[in-house]
Amino acid sequence: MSRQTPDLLPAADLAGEPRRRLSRIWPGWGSAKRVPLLIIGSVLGALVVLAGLLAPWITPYPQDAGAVVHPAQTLLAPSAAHWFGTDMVGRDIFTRVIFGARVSLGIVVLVLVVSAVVGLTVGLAAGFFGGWLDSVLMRVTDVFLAFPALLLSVALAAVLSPSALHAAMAIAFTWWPWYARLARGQAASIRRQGYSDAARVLGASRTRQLVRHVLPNAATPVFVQMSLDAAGIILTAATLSYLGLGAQDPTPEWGLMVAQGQPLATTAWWVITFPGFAILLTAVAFNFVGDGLQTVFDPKRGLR
Amino acid sequence: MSRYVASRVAQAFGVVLGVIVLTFVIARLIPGDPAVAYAGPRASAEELAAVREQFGLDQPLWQQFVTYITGIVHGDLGISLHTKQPVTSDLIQVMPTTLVLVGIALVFAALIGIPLGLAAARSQGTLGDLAAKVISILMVSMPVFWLAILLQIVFFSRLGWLPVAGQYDTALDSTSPLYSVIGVPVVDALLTGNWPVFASAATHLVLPVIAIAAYPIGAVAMVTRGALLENLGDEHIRMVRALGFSELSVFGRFALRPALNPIVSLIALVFAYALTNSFIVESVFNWPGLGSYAVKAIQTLDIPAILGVTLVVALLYVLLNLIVDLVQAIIDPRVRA
Repeated sequence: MSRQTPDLLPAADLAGEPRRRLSRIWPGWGSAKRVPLLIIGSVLGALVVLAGLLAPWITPYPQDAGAVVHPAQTLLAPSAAHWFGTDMVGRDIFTRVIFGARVSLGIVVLVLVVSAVVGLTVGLAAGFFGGWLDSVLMRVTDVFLAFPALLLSVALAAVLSPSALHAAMAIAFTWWPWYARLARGQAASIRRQGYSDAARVLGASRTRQLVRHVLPNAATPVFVQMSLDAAGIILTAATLSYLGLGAQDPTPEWGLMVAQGQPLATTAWWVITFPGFAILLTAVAFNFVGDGLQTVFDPKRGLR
Repeated sequence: MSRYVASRVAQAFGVVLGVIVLTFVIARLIPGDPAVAYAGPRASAEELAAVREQFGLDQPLWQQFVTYITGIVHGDLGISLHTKQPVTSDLIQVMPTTLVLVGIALVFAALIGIPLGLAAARSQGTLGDLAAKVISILMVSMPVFWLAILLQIVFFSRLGWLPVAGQYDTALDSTSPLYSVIGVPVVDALLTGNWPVFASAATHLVLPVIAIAAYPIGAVAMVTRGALLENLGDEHIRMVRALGFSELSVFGRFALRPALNPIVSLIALVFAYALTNSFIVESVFNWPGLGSYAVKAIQTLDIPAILGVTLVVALLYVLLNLIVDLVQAIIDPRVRA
């Protein structure tokens, strides 16, 4: 960003002193170096989404995503017929891993939508109206943030009956305060901006100010944060399922598949390896995208 | 400063009260009758009534809350449905193991993560920097339960290098018996100079520590890199460079010092991750700590134990956040304003 205008931003340029080596070899590196992870992450993420969407058509044994049993084919090692081998009841693991993308992505979308809506509402209300409402809402938010996120999800999921939906609800329950805090800070600072005053002076109603001016500007950092959080949600959901607090058999959920394969891990490595790798791959894809977007939108902010 | 401390401590107390309310609310969300959960489905009406009376479930909700909070103040977290022991004494028994494990993992994470972040910042924009970033992202993307099982398969089943479960080789008990000091073998052996057991306990630590430290290493490296780069762009760095200080002291003395604050603020968050990771890792490696206790409680739907663990960990976390804020205020006077 500062490269083209070194005279205006000398300090930032100076920070770049040691990073010139590669740009001597390949001049395009300067602009491309910011995005390789964003590109790789987007491609990987798109592949996971496509795999989930097209699961019934691209898997060799779509019926294996459900409650079927093939007693003659249990725990077969990976082969041409079963690329990732078969599990303890003979289901094709490749099929179940691909279908698993649907469950995991579904949970991610649900958690993000619910917690963004709740978080934005609470945060905007607190930041825009201020006063006692702000104090009350932010103290409540502090209480939620006082728990390690996974722990609160686990406690809540444990008292609910185990299912993928309840796991998603339990995660959203712990996720919204981050967005509330972020949106509140934005809303409070926007309220003090000139264009906010202008809108008020021109007689815009409070609703109009909120919807037309505050919401769009407060939402951008929340969206960036959401892209960073997708990986965390994937991991949290997988952990809940691994603990038996999420999706239940026969749902092809990655964390659950690892838990089911754990007793056999030393003899049938493929049962846990491929679902776990799917979790890692998806989380890496989302983290690459989140990191890239963050570099593009806000290069100065670190990991939260 | 004292005003800042007072307001920060008051705020922490408010949060603690909120945490207690929230755990109480979660406990009341249990579908069905908690008395049935305790007494079992075949209990008679009289037995259920007795259980209700014993736990005060026949009282109005506000009174139950008063009882709950009075109990907490007196260190009473209820009776575990699974162990039938007071949750408090269970927790006192399992906490040291977990705190030692998490403490070692965090030291390990700092020893690897901070230099990795330093090296990445030092070579910003090179392939080395990119590699460090990819490694960090891999670390924070790793599902910890999967990593723990893979480590077991590779280093125990395939290579046979490292032990897979337990805290030390109990066969050593006959030749060099271990005296309990705090109830954590690796520490007890060190304190009593029991070297055979200490060596065994140390090798038993390797795999669990790696599994727990993975996320913290990645997170610490990323934050260190970011904080350093932010400071490297500052005026004072231009100044010391212009004054001809060596690159080493530019980094070590002038860039790292102000970058310490974001790293310190990360401690609480990383502790939370390491602690929740230890839950999984302990149960995979069969360590008798807080994590195994919590996982067992989850599997047996032992609500008092689950909420006891949740509450204690949240209180620890609030305390740690408070300490971190106060330390930051000491390092950086701007925080107090």
